[in-house]
Amino acid sequence: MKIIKTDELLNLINNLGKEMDIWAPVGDSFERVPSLKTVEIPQGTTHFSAKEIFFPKEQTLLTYKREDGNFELDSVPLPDAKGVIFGLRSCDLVAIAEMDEFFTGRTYTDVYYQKLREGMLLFGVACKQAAPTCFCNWFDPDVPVNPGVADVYLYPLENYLLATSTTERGEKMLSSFPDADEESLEKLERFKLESIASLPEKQETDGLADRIYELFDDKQFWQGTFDRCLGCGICTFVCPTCHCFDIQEEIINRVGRRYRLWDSCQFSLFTLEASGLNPRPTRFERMRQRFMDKLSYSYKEFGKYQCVGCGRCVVMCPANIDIREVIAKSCTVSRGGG
Amino acid sequence: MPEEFNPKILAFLCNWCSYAGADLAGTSRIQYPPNIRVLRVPCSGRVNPQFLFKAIQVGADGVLVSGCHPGDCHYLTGNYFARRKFLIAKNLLELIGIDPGRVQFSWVSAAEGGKFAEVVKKVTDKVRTLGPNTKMVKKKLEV
Amino acid sequence: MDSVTSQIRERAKALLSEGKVDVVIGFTEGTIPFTARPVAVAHPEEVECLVWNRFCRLNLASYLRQFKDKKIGIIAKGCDTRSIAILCTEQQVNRDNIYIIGIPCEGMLSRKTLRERFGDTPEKVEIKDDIIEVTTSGKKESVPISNFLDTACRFCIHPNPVVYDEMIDDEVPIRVSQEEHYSLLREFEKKSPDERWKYFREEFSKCIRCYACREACPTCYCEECFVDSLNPKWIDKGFSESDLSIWHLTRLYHQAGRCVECGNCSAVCPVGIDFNVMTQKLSLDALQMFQYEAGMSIDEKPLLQTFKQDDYNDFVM
Repeated sequence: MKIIKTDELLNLINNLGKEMDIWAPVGDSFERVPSLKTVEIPQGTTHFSAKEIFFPKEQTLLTYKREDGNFELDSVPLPDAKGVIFGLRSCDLVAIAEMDEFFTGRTYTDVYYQKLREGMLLFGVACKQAAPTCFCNWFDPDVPVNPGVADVYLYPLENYLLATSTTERGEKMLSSFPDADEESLEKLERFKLESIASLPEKQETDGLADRIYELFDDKQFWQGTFDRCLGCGICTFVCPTCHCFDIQEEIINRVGRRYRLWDSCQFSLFTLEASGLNPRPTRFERMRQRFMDKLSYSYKEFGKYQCVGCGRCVVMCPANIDIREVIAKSCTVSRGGG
Repeated sequence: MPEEFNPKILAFLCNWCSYAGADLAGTSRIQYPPNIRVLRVPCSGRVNPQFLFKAIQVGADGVLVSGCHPGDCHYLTGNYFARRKFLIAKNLLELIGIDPGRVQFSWVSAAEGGKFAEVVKKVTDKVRTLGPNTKMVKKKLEV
Repeated sequence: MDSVTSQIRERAKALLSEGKVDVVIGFTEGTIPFTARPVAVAHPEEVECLVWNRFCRLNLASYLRQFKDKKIGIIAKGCDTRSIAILCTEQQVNRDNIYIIGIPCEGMLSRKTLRERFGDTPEKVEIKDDIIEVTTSGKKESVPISNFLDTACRFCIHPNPVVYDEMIDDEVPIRVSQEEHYSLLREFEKKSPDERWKYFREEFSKCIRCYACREACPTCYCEECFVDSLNPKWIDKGFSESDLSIWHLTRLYHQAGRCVECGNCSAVCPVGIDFNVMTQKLSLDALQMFQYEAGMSIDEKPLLQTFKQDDYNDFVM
């Protein structure tokens, strides 16, 4: 654990900014900024997550050209971006770890994601005070103060910060700063306790995956939530762990490209098969799918919930569909029907 | 001196009147600017305003839709419906900043070869003064 | 509890117990500030959850089609009733199966504007007459409610229910004149074409293609939207300015003579695209050119499914 003063931190990041982009929370989302002016970030999370930086909503994979009977195929050079992302919350870091696992940790490595992800230095900031829509503690009680995959993780104390790192490159950046003294470490403990105490009461999530799984066919369980679902894709687009994409082609004047873009399980085209069959034919199945995937399938398959409790979908849903209610309701419904 | 701008204009002509009108212009050897690319449609009522948007997207500098005079539609009422749709589409395009001169409509009967040539001339002149369209055009991909 | 809320509960309870309706669509308290959430109540004992306040922003007509096979009671503002009228005219729902409880509307508040001012999650929000009191980090602020009216509501000329079976409360005065109603548009039309295009390209470029505008629109109900059509593929799925413009332009064109300017599309947009100028244009065109106002009766034919021989013709050569 290192001690770092506010202006030292600003210098560190702005120096990095000479050779790379600086991303920071600005308004609704993470934006590129010319320089970092403050280490203060708003309570809670941004409306849109930082996933767009590694997983752009549109990305060209290859291009082609047809001319005088010739067909030329070109692969697009891998994206080459270097940046430092400041102001990630711990829930965002958990989400990034899950994205990492999805894109690079299994049988196939997605080089497009990998390249962008490797170029980014992650600066996490612990939550002093959780927002009322936060519920990260439902999945892991220590999350709000957990460094996760951050290169540098910061605890903002009164007038200076404590910093720790979980990666080699992070450690290198911090090496010149002094170690934290007893007093600071005591303060840190208090900070952690206060932070965790600011979160809502924990909902029982032991066995959640099984509970939700068993409720798959329970129409009554889902009905109230479904009644108000409009069927848009906002929840999936603001979600920091939603990673589904679509691959499309477009051709303009004999020059074409293959590109991928964000897709959403809330759209009817998502599961439409070439035969014309759509296994999730109505909004009901699609709405249920999101909850099944976040709270059950992912856990059963990979041992992790795809919900990190950031509360973005809760804040952004125009019809106020609240995933917290679904989790809470699953606790009260007796097994095998309700 | 810069080369004169030769606009590309897509013309949707109804099969029964305006297309025949264009034919008559041809057989009567009436000259008109070669800037139009003709697309024959069964009726002006067949022209979905999305066709107009699409034409602009793929690079038409102007669009012309021409059908039978009101009351003369081969299908009795197709052009009446078309007239309402076109007015709304045209006004929307104008609202978002696309010059109304780029999207034009005319009634040309099978007997009006002369009028057809005149219409094409007018539209071409107008679009030529407006210059190449840059709004809402899909840019060519860079390879 | 305010009197509209209690009357709504009373009427909903009566309708459900008498078996006149199977379900009542209305609003209940939201789980986050500045929000009332849609709810479908199916049992008389559940009516206590129904509320009426200045956050009942959504147009509930969007939910009618999913209860098609039921007898539906619906709590409806002026704009909601007009959308219902259109859905009936277009035979998407059966008027005989719908019981409309009309509520004169004083204008709803914009969640977006409130959030910009007070953040997403203030501790406490209270509305007292025309003042909204918001407490953020222990600090209470009182601001006139009119500062936060949704744009569509600010320019609304039909706040009172148009088509209904019964009405709760008295009609409210109409806040703007016919001419003021179009003031956003009038102001916008003064701009040059280049400035207008600059505005729209910037507005449309924000789009993330979540299709919330379409899903929230009561009159966007096609089984297959043109943007989802694979054959023909009308537009590409990417984020080029051209494709995004054509997507929004076409969607709005499809609302000609059907848009009631409820402002749902702008209200639900997560990136804050403002469609109000365009919807005003659609409304003004229908009114000026064809003396037509969308959703004012269920017997009138839709604007584009009819014509007059002497319709405006001066724009045709």
